Amino acid sequence: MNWISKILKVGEKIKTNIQKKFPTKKQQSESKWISCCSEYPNLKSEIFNEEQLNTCPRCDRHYPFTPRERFNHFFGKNNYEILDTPRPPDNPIDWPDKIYEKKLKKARELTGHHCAVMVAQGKRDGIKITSFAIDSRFIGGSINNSSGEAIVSCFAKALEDKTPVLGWSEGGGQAMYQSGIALQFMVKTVLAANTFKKESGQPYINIYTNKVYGGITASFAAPSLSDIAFSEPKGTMIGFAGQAIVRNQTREELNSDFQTSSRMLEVGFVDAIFHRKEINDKIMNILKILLHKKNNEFEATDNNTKIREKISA
Amino acid sequence: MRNYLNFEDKIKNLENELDKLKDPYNNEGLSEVDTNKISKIQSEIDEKLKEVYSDLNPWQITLVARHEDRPKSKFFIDNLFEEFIPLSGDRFYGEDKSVISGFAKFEGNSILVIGQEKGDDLDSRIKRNFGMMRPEGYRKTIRLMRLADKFKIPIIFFIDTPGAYPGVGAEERGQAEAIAKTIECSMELGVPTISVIIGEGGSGGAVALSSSSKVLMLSNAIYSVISPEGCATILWRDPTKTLEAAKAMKLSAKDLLNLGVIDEIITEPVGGAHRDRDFILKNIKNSIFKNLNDLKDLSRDEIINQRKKKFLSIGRSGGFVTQSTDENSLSMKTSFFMDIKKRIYTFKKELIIFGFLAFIFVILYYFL
Ligand SMILES: [Zn+2]
Repeated sequence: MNWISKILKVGEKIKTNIQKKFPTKKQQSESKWISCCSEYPNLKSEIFNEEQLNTCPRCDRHYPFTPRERFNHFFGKNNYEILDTPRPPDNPIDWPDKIYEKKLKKARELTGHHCAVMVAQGKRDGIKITSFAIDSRFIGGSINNSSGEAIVSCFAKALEDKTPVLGWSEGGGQAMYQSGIALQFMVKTVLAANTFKKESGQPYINIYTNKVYGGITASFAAPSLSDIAFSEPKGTMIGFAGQAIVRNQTREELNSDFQTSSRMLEVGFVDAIFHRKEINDKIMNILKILLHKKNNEFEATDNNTKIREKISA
Repeated sequence: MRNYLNFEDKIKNLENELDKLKDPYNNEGLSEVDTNKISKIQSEIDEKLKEVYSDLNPWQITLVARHEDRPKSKFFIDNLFEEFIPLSGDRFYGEDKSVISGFAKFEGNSILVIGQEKGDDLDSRIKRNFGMMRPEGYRKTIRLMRLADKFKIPIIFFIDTPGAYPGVGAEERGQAEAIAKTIECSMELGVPTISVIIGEGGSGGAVALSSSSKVLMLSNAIYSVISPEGCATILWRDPTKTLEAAKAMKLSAKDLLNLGVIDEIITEPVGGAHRDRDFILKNIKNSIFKNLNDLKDLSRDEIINQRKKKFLSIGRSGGFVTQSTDENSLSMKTSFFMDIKKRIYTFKKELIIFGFLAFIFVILYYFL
C-alpha cells in the first residue's frame, strides 16, 4: 500500500465520519430517531403522536403543527370548514425562468393547498370562530399575494359574520419573489386587522408558533396589533431580523435566549406562554371573558334545542 | 471631489480634463481656443451622460440611488421648507437620529416633515446610523403623526433607508411591533400624507413610512423587499449576481408604477439627482404641491377611504379574481371562472358518475 492510497483511505474515513455526524435532510426525515434534548436520540413516535401533539415529553420543545393539524386539534377533527380564499396571479412581477412557479408547484403538492395561509371557520364551546394558520412548509410560510389576500379575507369574513379571529402565526416574512407587491401586503393585512378590530367589536387573538419573522411580525402578527398575544413555549422564535442577519450586520453577541418566546415574555411583547396541550382551553377562557359568555350557557342552549327537537318530534 | 460610479469612467475622464482647463493656476486667463475646447468637452460630457443614463440597468439604478453625492433628506428639508422646527424623541426610550422630523411651512402652509437621513460624510453617517431606524424612530414618527392629525396638518415623508436596523437592542425593544404600529397609525390619519422615495426604499423599514395617500418616487430611486446583494446571496449563494437580482425584483420606479405599487415618478436630471440639485428641488416641489392640492378639499373620511381603497386594490387584478365593485371592501370578489371551477369541484362525484354512465351508454349504443 503506497502513501497515496493511505491518504485516500483516511479521507474516506473522515468523510464517512462527517456523514455519520451530520445526516442529510432526507436521512433525517426518513429516520425513526430524532435528536432533541436527551443524551440519546428520542424515538420520533414519542413526540409526533396525538397525545404529545408534536411536543417533546422530556423538554417540552414544540415541533411545527400544520394548519390542518392545528384546526383538527382546536375545532375537533374535521369539525370546521376551510374557507375559499382568492387566487391572484402566481407571478405578478414576472420573476424569470419560472423559478417561482416551480417552487409554488412543489409547495402545493407537498401541502395540498394553493398558498401558505389556510383559513377555517368552526365552533368551539358554541362560539363561532374564524381562524387562519400559516404553513411554514409552503416556501417558508412567506406572505405573497395569495397568502396575503387569505389573511385579508379571514378578517373580512370574521367582520361579516361577527366572529372573533384566532391567528396561528409563523413564517419568514414577505415573499422575495413578489418583492414590491409582497411588501404592500404588510399594509393590506394591517389595514384588514385594524378594520376588523374597529368595526366588529370582536377580539383578535394571535398565537406565535414555530418561527415568526420579518414582515409577518411587523404587520398583522405584531404583538399589539392583536388584542391578545400568546405564544407556544420552547421551539418558538419571534423577531424581525433573523439571527444570521443580526450577527453578520452588527457583530453583537447574541444570548442563547435571544428572540425565544420566554425572552419575548420577559421584554413585554407576549401576554403569556402556554403548552400546546393547554393553549386551546386558555384561548377559550379569555374569549369567554371578553365576550361575557357564561361557562355553561352553551351547554344549556344545546340542551334546550335538543329538548325542543324532542318535543317537536 | 466628485464620486463616480463604475459605469461612468468616460464621464470621469472628460470632467477631469475639463477641470484642468478651468483651473486658474494652470492657465493665466482663458484664451479663445480654451473656451472653445471647454464648451466642446462640456457638450461631449452632456452627450455621454445622456447616452449612459438613458438606458441604465436596474443594478446601475441601484448604484445611483445609493450614490454618496445624492441629495439626502436633510438637503430637501433645508431647501423645500421654511421655518423648520426639529422635534425629537419618542417619549418612551430615546431619540433616533436616523430620522429627522419636525413642523415647517411649505409654500406658506403648515406641514409635518419626516425624513430618513443617511448622512453625507463618515461622521454624520455614523451619527445617522446609515439611515437605519430603530424602534424609537418609528415611535417618534407615530407621536408626531398623531400630533399633525390633531391639528389637521398634512405630512410629507422622505424615504431613504437600507432597511430597519437589525440590532439586538432594536429587536428587544420591538422593531417589528414599532413598524406595524407605524403602518396602522398611517392608515388612521385623516390628513393627506405623501411619501417621496428619494433613494433606497429598503423593505419593511421603508414600507412603514410609505403607507401614504400618495407614494412618489424619484426616477433613479429603488424600492424592494430585500437588497439585490441579499437576494443574490439567497438565490445563487453569490452576492455578485446583483444585476440578475435587481432585474428580477422589479425595484425601479418605472416597474413599480406599472405594478401599481407607486403613484407617480418624479423625473431626475440627466446623470442623476446629484448632478443638478436645483432641477430635482424644483420637480419635487411641484410634485408635492400638485398632490397636496389634489387632496386638500377631501374630508377626513374621504382621505382615509381613498388611502384604504388604494392599498386594498394593489395586487388584485388578474388571476382567478376580478376587481371588486366595492373596492373599499376587504373582500375580493371571485370571478365567473372561479365560480364555475368551484361548482365543478362540489359536484365532482356526480360529474364523474354521469360521465361514466354516458361513456357506457355510448359504447353500448355503438355495439348494439
Ligand atoms: Zn426534547
